Amino acid sequence: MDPGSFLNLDALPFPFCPGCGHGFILPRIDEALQLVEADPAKVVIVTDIGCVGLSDPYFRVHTLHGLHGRAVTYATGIKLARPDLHVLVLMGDGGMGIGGTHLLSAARRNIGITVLVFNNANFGMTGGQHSVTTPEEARTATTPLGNLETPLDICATLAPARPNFLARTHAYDPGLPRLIADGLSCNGFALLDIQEYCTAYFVCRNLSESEGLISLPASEGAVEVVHRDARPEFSRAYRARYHGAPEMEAAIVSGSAKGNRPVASTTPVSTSHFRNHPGRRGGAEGPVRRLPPRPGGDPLLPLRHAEGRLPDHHHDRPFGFGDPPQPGPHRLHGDRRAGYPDPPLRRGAEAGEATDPDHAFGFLDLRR
Amino acid sequence: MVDFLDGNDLVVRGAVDAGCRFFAGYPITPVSSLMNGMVEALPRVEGIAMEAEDEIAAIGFCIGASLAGMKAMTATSGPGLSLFSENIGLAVMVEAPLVIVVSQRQGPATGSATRTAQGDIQFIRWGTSGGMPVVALCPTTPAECYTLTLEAFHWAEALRAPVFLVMDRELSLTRERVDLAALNRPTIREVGRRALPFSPIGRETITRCTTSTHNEEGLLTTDPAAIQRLIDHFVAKIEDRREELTRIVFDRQEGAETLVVSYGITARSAREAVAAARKEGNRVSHLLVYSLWPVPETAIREAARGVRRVVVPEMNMGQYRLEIERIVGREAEVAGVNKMDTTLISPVEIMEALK
Repeated sequence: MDPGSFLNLDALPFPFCPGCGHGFILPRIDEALQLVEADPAKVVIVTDIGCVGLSDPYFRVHTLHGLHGRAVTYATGIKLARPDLHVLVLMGDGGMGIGGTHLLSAARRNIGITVLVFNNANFGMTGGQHSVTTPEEARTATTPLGNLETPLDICATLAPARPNFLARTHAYDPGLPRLIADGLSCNGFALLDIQEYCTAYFVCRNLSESEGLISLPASEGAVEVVHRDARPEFSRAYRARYHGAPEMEAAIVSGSAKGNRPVASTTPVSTSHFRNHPGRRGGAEGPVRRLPPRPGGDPLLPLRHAEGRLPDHHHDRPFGFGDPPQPGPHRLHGDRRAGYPDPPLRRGAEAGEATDPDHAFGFLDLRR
Repeated sequence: MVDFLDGNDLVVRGAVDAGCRFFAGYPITPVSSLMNGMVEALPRVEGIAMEAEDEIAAIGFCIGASLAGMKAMTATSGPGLSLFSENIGLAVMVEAPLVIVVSQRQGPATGSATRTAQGDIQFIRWGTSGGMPVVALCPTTPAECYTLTLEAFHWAEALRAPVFLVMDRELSLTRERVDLAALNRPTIREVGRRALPFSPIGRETITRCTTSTHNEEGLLTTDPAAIQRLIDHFVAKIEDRREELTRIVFDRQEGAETLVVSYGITARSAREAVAAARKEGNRVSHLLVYSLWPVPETAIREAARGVRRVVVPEMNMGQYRLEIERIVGREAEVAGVNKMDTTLISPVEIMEALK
């Protein structure tokens, strides 16, 4: 075994079809992990469902193979628990589509995971159905006369969320290891949209001529880093903000955690985090829309109380739809309906006497 | 010290005292205040509390954090439990210790979002593909919420499995007098003795977890013998502990002709009804079931011995009654007191069935 390799060389060859892009990308991940000099015991590879979901046994690092589209959520949980780990997500364009909301939220949070989308423009494992990245007019099992939908450009979609690293590339890019390594080192959310071929289904239905085969990666856009940012990584930012914060200590009066009380803040809430996104590709820049000034005193007082109307994106709806529904009233059962007396809170002496000792349960005594 | 707290408050306290350091949830009545409570409590003990983008992400975060070594909990109600479904199966499959609080409200679908029900009892048992057994504990008071939350964590860790804490809107959101000094804190010694081994992700030992059928090395397998071994393990680790997991209170009356089997918030009405029925000269026993799943079959069979009739009050159309019928239906008549009009079953309504 190559001492430096993160691949489980004994398990080779890969199980993919001849010419499948997956087999090109996995060794590049190994090279990227070597570039960042990762410790195998501090690397986690989380795989999604699909052909790419067969990848995890080929790496000698921690692995978790999870549900379709949800790999990003497990990776987020792992990173939140262990900010010191390198957490990689390997998913296809299918998982990207079904789990799109997780990608958007992970990018907004800038949680420190590196997502590699093995984008072969269709569902390979289930027989070549179209996915969210299938090009227009492409023929697949579920678009036999040509795809009528516009493909999703994942980098352009995520850029306004301002994660730390977004790049578009393809499986044959010689710079792929460096690009993956850049994602691993960006100290935040990174995603690489890696174009590749599904030889079993997509190529034979759409790219019978070698010219088309060669041109596909180029047609999807040149290799480029679409967006870079330097926002704080979430799992560390959370700890820095919340752990040991005096405001959190003050939020709970000793002996009565009520759970509903807003945390009193001594500093005004930042109003600069609402931005207009012009929607252009990579458009993370844009004029900052500021909220109207808050009324003096309580910075957490809802805006609508200040001017009697909702913020202007709701301006066509007058404030007040009747009384808003209240959370459940906190009252004793006895108030609720006739014939329902106050429940006994510390009941049980009389019940206890009648209790069969054989049925008293172990070390617990709930009768108190 | 007597305080005025609801079930959600006591779950928060129980979770923190059990060592829970990770929570992820999504706002939903009636557990939004539980999430708020975790958001306030966990940072103070260097824990993490997240509001996720949806319930699927909430339980996904928890599974990830749990596999990375943190004690984790999530909480939801019926609609969110529906979204948990597939990931509950994953938690079973990768044997992730996880506490899932389900505070029931009236369904189906959005239902009466702010009103109570007990309509998810069988959903909790059969809520994911494959039908593997689950553990579900069901308190009746805020103080018991505390105790059973501790227990839920102990069992989740010991069994490496999702464990449900079954509540309802009324228990979650109704404040009551709670003597915090008198809370019942179960010891963990008996649970810890036979806990399953667990090597978290991110330690020196390389760990493999997979949602697919796998062998003892955590590698995907299609070998029928290995797959059957895996399934047998999931079943045995819970079924073999059925007696250990039994949590009941049996209030027996000599010569009883009727047995009331109750659980959750309805048990409190049942207790009143039984006391009143006895005053009127009826001979009635009462079995209060805290461990809904796995069903405490031995206890139910013994409690029903000699009775002519078993009455099961519940705020659904007879879900747990199915289990009682299965166990003692040949020996006794099994009747339900059922309604789903979003109001609690009153002692009077149960008494009617005891005459």
